[in-house]
Amino acid sequence: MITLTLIKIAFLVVLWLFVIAAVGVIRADLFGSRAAERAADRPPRQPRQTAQERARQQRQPEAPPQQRQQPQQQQPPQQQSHEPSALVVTEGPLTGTRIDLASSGPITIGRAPDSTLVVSDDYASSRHARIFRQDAGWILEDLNSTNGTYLGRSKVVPARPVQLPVGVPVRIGKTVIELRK
Amino acid sequence: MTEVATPTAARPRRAASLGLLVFALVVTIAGFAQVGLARDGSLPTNMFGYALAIVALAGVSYFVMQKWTPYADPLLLPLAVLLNGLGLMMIYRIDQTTTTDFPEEKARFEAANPGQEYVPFGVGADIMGQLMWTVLSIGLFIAALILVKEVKAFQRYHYTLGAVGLVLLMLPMVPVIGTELNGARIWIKLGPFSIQPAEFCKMAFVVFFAAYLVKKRAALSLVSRKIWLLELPRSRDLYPILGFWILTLMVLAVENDFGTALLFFGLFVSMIYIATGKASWVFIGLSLFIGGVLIIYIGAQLIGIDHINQRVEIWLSPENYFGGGCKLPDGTVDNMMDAKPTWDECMAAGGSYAESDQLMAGLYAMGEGGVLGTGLGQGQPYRTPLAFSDEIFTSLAEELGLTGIMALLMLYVLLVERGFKVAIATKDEFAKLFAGGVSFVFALQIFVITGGVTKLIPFTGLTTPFLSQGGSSLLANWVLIALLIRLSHEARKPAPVAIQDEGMTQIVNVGNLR
Repeated sequence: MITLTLIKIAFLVVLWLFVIAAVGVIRADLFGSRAAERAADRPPRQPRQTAQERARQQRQPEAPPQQRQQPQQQQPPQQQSHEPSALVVTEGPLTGTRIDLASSGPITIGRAPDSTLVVSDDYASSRHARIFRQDAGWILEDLNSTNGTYLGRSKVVPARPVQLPVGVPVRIGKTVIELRK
Repeated sequence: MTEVATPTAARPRRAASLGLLVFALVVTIAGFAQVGLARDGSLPTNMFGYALAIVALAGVSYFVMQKWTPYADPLLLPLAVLLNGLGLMMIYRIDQTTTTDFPEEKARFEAANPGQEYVPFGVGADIMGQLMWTVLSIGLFIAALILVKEVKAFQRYHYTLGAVGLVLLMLPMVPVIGTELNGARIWIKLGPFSIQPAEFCKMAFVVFFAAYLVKKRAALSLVSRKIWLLELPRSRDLYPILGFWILTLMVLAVENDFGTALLFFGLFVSMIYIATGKASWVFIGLSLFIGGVLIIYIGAQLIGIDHINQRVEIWLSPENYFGGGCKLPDGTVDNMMDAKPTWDECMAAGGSYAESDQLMAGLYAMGEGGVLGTGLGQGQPYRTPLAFSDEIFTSLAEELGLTGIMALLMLYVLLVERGFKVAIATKDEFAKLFAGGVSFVFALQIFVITGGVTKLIPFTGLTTPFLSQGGSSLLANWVLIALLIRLSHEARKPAPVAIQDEGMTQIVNVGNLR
């Protein structure tokens, strides 16, 4: 009798293990498998960014070559305190979204689903603007958008990248973003 | 349906899928083994045949899935295989009982009912039949996976499919072929086969609604007036939902099946909600349905149509009808368990007879199971009428307990979740609505049947997807899974690499960037 009870409980355990294994597969689907994570030994990523989005960013048009000559590790230490750490959406439907600058490459903004920040907004172009690191600072470039990109109150001229200071609002359609320390 | 870039792994998940599939087979075969060990103290001799058949079926479907839809969702197939396997296991378990005699039961029955033939428990459970249907279903699954390259192709035939669905839904009302079982007319009889057309209706209606809503989505999203939080659509946009409402109420009144009516009306309302994203449609749908049900039941009460009311009464107070109840014209119900008003006395007094044995036996079975269950092969699920089809949920609940049945419901939750995931990941509007509708109809069907057997809502004769014995249910559900797998493959496969017109395309090793 006791054997049967043990078998009964073992079956229930196995049934639940299946459920847990299935959830594990879903988890790996969303965030990448743990093994791959360990192998890469990379810093903890922000929750919404996945391996695939990472891959997308790799496919983004590459930032100017200076970027490669100036890897992050070689930043002068005194710059560190002024270094912005995140891009934050302050207005619009995506308010509150944060994009960690340390772990991302150039940031593209637009309606195209492969943009880093996908804005669903009739006033935004599919490839509206991009923000990338150059030398010590961050550069904002309008990608020839229809309705323009505004830094503070001035319009950013397409194909004329400008310095993007910390805390100055950038308006793209209904969305406002800014760099934060 | 806002466009959200959803992270989906654009890589095949072969290992994960195969691992889970093997796990599912292990669970199923372990279940068969436990039934044998508990009943006879040894592994059942015919277990290896069943195990071989199930493994072969799962293997073939896995191979086809990897060959034709390598990027498919890794969970859909293993979940369906496990549910189907657990169903086979439970049907086998009940089928085993049929051959066993219960001498004392038989003696008691023959003493109480002289001249009548004793019908043993579990009659009707047919593991070989179910296995044959599984083979056919997997065949259809494979055919659908290979042949249906684009689910969108159905969009062209949506009026045809909608009409087919309508006819199928109405068929049980036709006098000769429609058959009544347990008070509900949801079966049709074609020669030796009984078919539950509602199963095939599901797919036809999902296709029709999806194609219809693709066309009407914009109009249905319009707001004419706003009353407090409720955004009311224009009155002329209400006609389709009203038309379908009347149709489902007809189903409720004529087929006398609350579950079927709820299933299809709920499907329509949920798909409008998926298409428009307006909660007011859910509110309108729910109030229409509740209002309609009340109208029918109160109307039936006033006119005096007993068979509709009796189903509600059985639902509200099944205890009175356990073992047969005689409802007298003055409204009191005499229980006839001890043959105390006999059948003849009841009829002479102008009463009407009904019984709630199935519902009550199912409730007792679940109570018997408790938290951990009696263990497979150690309970008495065969005592419930139709323990292998309508009541397979309570049969499993008796032998696996609350713990097991929760795991089982989790399997369904995961299946539905994967379906919605497909809907989110799919770009095409029709396919999005199709996948969303299929997932929702699975969820709602499980709610309707488990709600029915647990006395939450009136009992219904709908099948439990993949578990219940019955060919129509298996065939229809496996085709739906095949279409979901096809859609998930289309959604998850990497987009064809186009030459991007961005001046130059560079390949950058990001490792250097960091």
